[in-house]
Amino acid sequence: MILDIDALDDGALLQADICVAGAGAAGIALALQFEGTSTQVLLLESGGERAEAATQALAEGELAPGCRHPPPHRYRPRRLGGATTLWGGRCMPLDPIDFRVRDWVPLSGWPIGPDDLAPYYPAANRLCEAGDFDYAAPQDMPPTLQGFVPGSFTQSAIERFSCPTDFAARYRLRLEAAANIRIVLHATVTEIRTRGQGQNQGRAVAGLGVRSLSGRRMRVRAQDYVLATGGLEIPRLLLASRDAHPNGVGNAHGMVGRTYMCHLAGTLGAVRPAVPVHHGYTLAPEGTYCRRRFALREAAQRRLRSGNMVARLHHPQVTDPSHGSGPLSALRFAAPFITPEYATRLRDGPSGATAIARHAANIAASPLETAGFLLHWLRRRTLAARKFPSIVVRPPGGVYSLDVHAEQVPNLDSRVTLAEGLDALGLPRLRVDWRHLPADIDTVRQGLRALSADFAASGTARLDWDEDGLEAALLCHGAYGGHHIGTARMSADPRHGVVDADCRVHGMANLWIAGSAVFPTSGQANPTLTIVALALRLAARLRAASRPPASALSPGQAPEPAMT
Amino acid sequence: MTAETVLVLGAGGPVGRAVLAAVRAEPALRGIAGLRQGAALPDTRLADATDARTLTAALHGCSLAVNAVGGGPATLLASTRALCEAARAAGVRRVVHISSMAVYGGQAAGMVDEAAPLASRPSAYEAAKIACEAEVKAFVAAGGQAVTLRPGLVFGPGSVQWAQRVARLLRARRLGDLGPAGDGFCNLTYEPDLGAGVVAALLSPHAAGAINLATASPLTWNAFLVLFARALGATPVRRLTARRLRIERLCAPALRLAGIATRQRGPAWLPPPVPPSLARLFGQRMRLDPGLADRLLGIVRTPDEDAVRATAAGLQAA
Ligand SMILES: Cc1cc2nc3c(=O)[nH]c(=O)nc-3n(C[C@H](O)[C@H](O)[C@H](O)COP(=O)(O)OP(=O)(O)OC[C@H]3O[C@@H](n4cnc5c(N)ncnc54)[C@H](O)[C@@H]3O)c2cc1C
Repeated sequence: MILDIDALDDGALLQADICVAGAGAAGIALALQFEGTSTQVLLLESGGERAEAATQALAEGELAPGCRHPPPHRYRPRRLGGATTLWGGRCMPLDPIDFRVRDWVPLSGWPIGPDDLAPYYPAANRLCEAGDFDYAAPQDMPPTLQGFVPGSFTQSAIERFSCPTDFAARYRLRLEAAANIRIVLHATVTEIRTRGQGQNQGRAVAGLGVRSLSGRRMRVRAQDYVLATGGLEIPRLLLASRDAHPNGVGNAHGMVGRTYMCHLAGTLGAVRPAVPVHHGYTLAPEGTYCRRRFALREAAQRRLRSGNMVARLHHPQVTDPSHGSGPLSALRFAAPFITPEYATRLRDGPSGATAIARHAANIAASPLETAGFLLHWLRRRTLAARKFPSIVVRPPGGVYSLDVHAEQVPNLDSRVTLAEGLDALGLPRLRVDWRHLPADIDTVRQGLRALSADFAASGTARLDWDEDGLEAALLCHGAYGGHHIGTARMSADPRHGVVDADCRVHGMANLWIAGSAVFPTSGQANPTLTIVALALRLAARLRAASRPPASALSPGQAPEPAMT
Repeated sequence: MTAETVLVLGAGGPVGRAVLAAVRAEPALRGIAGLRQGAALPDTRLADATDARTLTAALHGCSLAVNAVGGGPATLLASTRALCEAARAAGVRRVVHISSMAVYGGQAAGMVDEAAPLASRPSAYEAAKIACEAEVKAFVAAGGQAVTLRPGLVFGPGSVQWAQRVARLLRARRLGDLGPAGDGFCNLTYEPDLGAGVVAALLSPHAAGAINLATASPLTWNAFLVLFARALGATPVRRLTARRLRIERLCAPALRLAGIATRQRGPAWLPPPVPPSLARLFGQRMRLDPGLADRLLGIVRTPDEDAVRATAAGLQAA
């Protein structure tokens, strides 16, 4: 059932067994696990079914001086489906090493291991529509570089892509039809109340405060509460809820909002292959797009004492017309029509009249290739339900670049806190002070040296890159947008984190967190598949805890929680 | 102990063939094929299933009968009526009537057990299936013994609708992963499992009334279609847009008419339609509750994955 808060009475008390705040990948995945059961689930979503400027403005915040991070309201759509309405759909699990304590990575080590998540990944792949949970390249998939011999890197690992699935559009019918799931739109959680539980005072959530931009207020009472509002709104809500905890809920040790990680990414270097290249996609039997990637192997990470990292062959920088490619120049002209989150790399570089003229000349020189590219894009991306994941262009000069994506290590000083100002609903705004460490740059430096050596050893390619300019190249667009990790990290010891191995907030009986906020380290993988796998694990945990029906909470209520 | 003799009516159809095979594999039973036409082979009786008089003659010496007659609404009702009458006249001990999950109608949702209400606004086919069940009930009220089985979609290499047609559409990439339109449950009943269910219904002293007969935890249509396509080698499976499914809906009536008009010539190139009735099933969130079948019939079901793979292999071999 999907309702708008305006359909409810002002001041209504909503009751449920489980209340989930935030209907993005995590919240929707979790709610669906209760479909058709007797558990009453209430899913509160700040946004509506479409993008709305006033709602999006609730996500606005400050950046610390010099902080190279996108403005906080970017990359975080506030609407049903959350960031899955905008995401790219790359679905990667974490690697076993990501869970381990690595003595060279401070604060590394998860309190759970790969085996704890393994049962949930296949179902996460299904929900994300990313095909089988199988990340080994099949025999018949052409190698990226023919004859490449694995050394520090392997090219036998693949990445898989979601449609990309917009969780709202994809699962709307099911959510609408489920009698035991109620989604309330335009319902922004503004407070976690922990007062009023007698001897449990402060140790359990007693209710949530909910408000809407239309002026409605609502109260919520449930047995369990799950925060799934995304990696930045989770610490914001915890920090802003101070009725019984002066520093915020779950923040007894000052860990909420700390160790904020994104990923470091960039397109750099020049790769000159000496062998046949395949850097495009292959369709797996079940129809998902897959491709190979160069992945830094576990043994190499241990030897180099580096973080995790991957690299892909990529086309040259679009904005630089010297690539001579008609399709890439056509993209340069399309930049103004592309959403800002995807256009950052299309906007820097030469932009004067000469550059424009040279782009036009590139198109004029290869009209058929350009038209073919645009037609392919129209058919396989714009009009397709399963979209061709990214631009694949063979550079005319045979010189590729490398697209790298690397782990950031946990850093207590990289953090989000509350700012002075309030949003339109009275919630303190967020202040983002994202930082990187030399170790983060070093992961890529070590990785590129090793990849260059692997290329040379197998005689498959030459990699030229500017070591001195590496940091600038990785930071020119700042933190990788859309991955918000570590702000409510999982730890066995309450002093080192915010949630326990079950994703329950330390010291709170009934408050749980779903999302990348709980990741203690970031790995190389894009976070969503693991977010969904963890949400499924949390749902199993909540389902296993046998619960009396909601009516037992408040004697005299009808079994169907009353909406008064 | 001598084997009891069973007349399987409709033994020429895919459902009847599967039932007959199971009955003949059971030592306690001797299966006789009831056919409308054909050669008078041993253990075969020719009879018009809609005519009680010839049926009574065909039932001579049979203590058990199975109604697996297929066809349009009129045929279904007439044959069930005739069988009940003939069974009474011939002194048949027990009738097993093969009904369908269609009796619950297209609006049913959630876990549906045998006590669930039948379709309130039934289609012609659903209404006929409901009326047939009423005939069987009347037969029981008059002192007869009967078991009504309600299978899901009877699936196997012999199934024209659910295996052969769907396979053709998958190979043509006109079906595939349907996204939000394919989240309904695909309640399959694998042909050998239906056969086993019928045998158990014939022999079990406790079996009576209506019993659902379907897979315990059904796949969604999307999962079924992707699995079937992969087993058929119709890969990579295509994800169909909502636009594409709308076009199929618009084209279905014309394709159906063209199919009827050219049936005599039977051009293999004419694509089969994806009729609206099928498109509706893709979204129906109904699951047949298998509990009663487990308790009364105790049959072991083939997992859907195995059934789909075996069916695809059967189709490839054909
Ligand atoms: C451009 C872009 C590309 C991306 N590409 C990839 C990719 O290729 N692979 C990958 O793995 N990930 C990718 N991501 C990241 C991915 O989108 C997120 O990891 C994922 O959506 C996070 O899911 P979530 O449910 O934790 O948070 P979200 O999806 O952000 O959902 C949070 C929900 O909570 C709601 N909300 C917020 N505050 C409140 C409140 N106070 N009360 C009620 N509701 C609230 C929001 O409106 C939102 O609907 C990308 C992101 C972007 C922006």
